[in-house]
Amino acid sequence: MSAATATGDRDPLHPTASGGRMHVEMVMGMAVSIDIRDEVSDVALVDVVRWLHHVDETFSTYKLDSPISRFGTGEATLEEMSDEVIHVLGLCEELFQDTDGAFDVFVVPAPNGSHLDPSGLVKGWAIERCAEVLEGHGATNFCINAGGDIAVRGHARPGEPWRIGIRHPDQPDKSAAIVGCSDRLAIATSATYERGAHIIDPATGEPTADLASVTIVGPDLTYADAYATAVFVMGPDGLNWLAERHPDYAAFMITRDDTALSTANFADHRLS
Amino acid sequence: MDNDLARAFPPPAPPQPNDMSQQEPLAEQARLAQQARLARLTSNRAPRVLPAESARTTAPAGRTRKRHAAKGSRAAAVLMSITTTAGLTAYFQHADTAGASNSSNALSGVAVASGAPAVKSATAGTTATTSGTTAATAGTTATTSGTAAATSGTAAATSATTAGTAAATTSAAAAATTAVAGSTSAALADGTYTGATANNRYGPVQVQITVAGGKITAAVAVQTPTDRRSVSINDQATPILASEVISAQSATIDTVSGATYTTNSYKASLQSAIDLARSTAVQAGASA
Repeated sequence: MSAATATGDRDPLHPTASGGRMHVEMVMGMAVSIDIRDEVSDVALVDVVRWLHHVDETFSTYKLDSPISRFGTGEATLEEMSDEVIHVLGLCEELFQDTDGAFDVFVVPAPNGSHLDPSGLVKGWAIERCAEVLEGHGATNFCINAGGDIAVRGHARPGEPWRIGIRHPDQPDKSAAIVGCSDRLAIATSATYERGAHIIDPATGEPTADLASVTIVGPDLTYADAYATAVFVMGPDGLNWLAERHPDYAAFMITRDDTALSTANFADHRLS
Repeated sequence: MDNDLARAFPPPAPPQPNDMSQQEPLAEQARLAQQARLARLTSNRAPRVLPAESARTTAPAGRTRKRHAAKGSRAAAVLMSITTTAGLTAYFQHADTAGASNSSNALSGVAVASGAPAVKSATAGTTATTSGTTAATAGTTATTSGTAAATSGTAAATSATTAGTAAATTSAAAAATTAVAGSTSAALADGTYTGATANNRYGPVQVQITVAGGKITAAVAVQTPTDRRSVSINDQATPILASEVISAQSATIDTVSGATYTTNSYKASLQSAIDLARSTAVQAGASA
């Protein structure tokens, strides 16, 4: 019964006496875990779920008729795209410039046959919007985990911070570090242990494999997600890039030989 | 069930209308830039291939781009619109021809990045093993590695209290093993230990370790150099012992950040177990 709830087969709007809701939505090819620790209206969760499916319809590179696929394959022009798509492509361009080319949505071979795949940014962007939707409905304490990329707000329990484990690359049941949050925080991890060496270095067109994982912690998941990809491509130098360019974000990096490196400000977030 | 419920409610408003309007100039700018890039992509039929090493160190212009699969007519239209945007065109011509020097200029703003090849190999190549004096009296060897000690081959060599200068070429994994062995066989006394000062090219650096429960729980570089530039560099990357990586158990976490798992791998994931526990708690609360 509870197992069914965790995988989204049951009523996600199950009200609770202790406060809070827990729902897992399978969308965009992943599981999105929505853990709300406040009492919120049914509409809040419905809005979030609808928004996620809307994003999937618009930005899925698996669906040949999605706007992003039609644009990527040349079936539709940029002028035919909605403001939303333009906005996302604009963010991609901004990040392309900012990362000196390390984040480039035009080198990733997409499932639809094109070479435009903004999924690395869309996920973080969409989840950050989810958080805004929930906040708009009055939720102040919640955690949205979209396949390992996370937006958190408030506390896990009164007076207790959220404790976010960073998965150990070789040991799925262990954390390499634990990050705390008692206000708002985004945590995004890029790694090869789930989907193989799929992160492409735009400089070579080849997959990069120097690192086991890169985790970025900071205020906005849109950027944290993209920075994780970029720093993964940059390798250890990426720590210096992030510290110089975006001191409000912190990085935690694990090399393939299980050595951990981090920016100095990662200690501000780290619980253990 | 989700869909039924979703249909019962009106469509959600655009999630962030304020954000959208605030970003309007960005969107317009991005639209132009995007068109320019598409034009470049369609005209770049043959991907440029650079030698691997130079491709590594010159970022944007050196990247090999796959051709965007846009239709020819569209490409022509986009190209025309670009040509009329003189300033933009000039910018991108410049970017195309002088991109390599642009990128290296951008990178050379970061002193460490300008030495990219050296730092790149720092992960394994310049790992140093230093033994702090106080730590040594406790019968252990403190091991550290990483970018803050990127030049610690030198640091180790000039430090009187350094053990194993040859470890400059020791792999990080091997160094970590040393640390683990030291901490388990020597029964460390709890406390904080600060090693002797060593010099690297950014100035004096000390390594401080924290021992709790007989194990090294933290290792940090302290005593940042006085030179402001060096401080910012030294602040950026702090090495963490590999032995720490496996120390944190997952028993007391609320959620897990990791590589994006598929819907299938989710079912076997730690996150799935946590979600299940949370669902159970919510339901128990509901029926209580």
